[in-house]
Amino acid sequence: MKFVRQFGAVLLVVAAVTALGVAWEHSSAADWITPPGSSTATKLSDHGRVVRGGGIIRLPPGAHPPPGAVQGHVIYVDTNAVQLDLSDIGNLTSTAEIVVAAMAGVIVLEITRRRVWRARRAARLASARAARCSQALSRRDG
Amino acid sequence: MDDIGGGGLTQVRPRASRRQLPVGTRLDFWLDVVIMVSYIFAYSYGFTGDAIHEWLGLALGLVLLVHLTLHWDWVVRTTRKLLGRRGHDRVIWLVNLALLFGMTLCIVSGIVISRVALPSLGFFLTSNLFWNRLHILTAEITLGLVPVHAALRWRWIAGVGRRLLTRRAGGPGRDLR
Repeated sequence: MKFVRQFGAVLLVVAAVTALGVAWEHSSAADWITPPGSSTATKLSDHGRVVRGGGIIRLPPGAHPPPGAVQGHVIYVDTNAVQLDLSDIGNLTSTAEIVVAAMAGVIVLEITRRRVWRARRAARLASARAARCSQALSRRDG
Repeated sequence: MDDIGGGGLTQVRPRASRRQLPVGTRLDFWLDVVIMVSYIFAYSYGFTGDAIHEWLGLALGLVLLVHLTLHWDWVVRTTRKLLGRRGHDRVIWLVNLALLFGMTLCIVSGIVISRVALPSLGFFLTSNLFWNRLHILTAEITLGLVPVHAALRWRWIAGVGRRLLTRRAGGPGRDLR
């Protein structure tokens, strides 16, 4: 029951972030990532065809486009092409290298931070101990 | 991963280092490993191609919902105590928040621009340049944040990983007490 409740809360948060994304698209702040004039027809490598002035509709081969679909806004996609491109394994290894390098960098920073913190704490404790000793000595002598 | 020291699902007690790990901790660990490996594969678009990239991305979205749910206690607790917390916890909280935004927008924009997965499920969404650019931007941001998110908890990962591997080396299901 707790899991379901928490899952519902997570879905709400995700829905809120999605709503922010949609609001971003419709606000003037969308120009940050799509500057004015950049909506001309382009062929984006790997990320689909973008058609001038609006959205694109993707259909499986042989399907009929819905009524009212603008010619040129419809692309046909073969959904059966499920295979790895082994010739491009360098793409996978370079991603893994970026992840490993970033992790290593953060771990080194973490270890350094913890060592500095421990050294400072040890110095603080040592000075406090020295102060206590000197107080005790002065009390005994006085 | 975020519950270390917090008395939650995934807490690893130093004194119990030779005992069998709780089921919740093991689930947490392997789920994190699956998410990390899946993300690396999904990001390597040239290697996976359209179909695997999209299906993996959708699966990753579902697993991330479970991941977030398993750590929801930590999210609530840390958010409430944010002002009184140490700087380190605040950094982790901010990284996690940025990752939540980045990952959610990446997966949502991926769904909107889907060319294979969604059409094969019978959904035909219209997309535009904004969602294409947002997908690329958030994917690059999350590629930077995912390793930071994992590395900030490297002690937990190393501790649990070592115990899991030690237990395996000792034989299946064998208790090392």
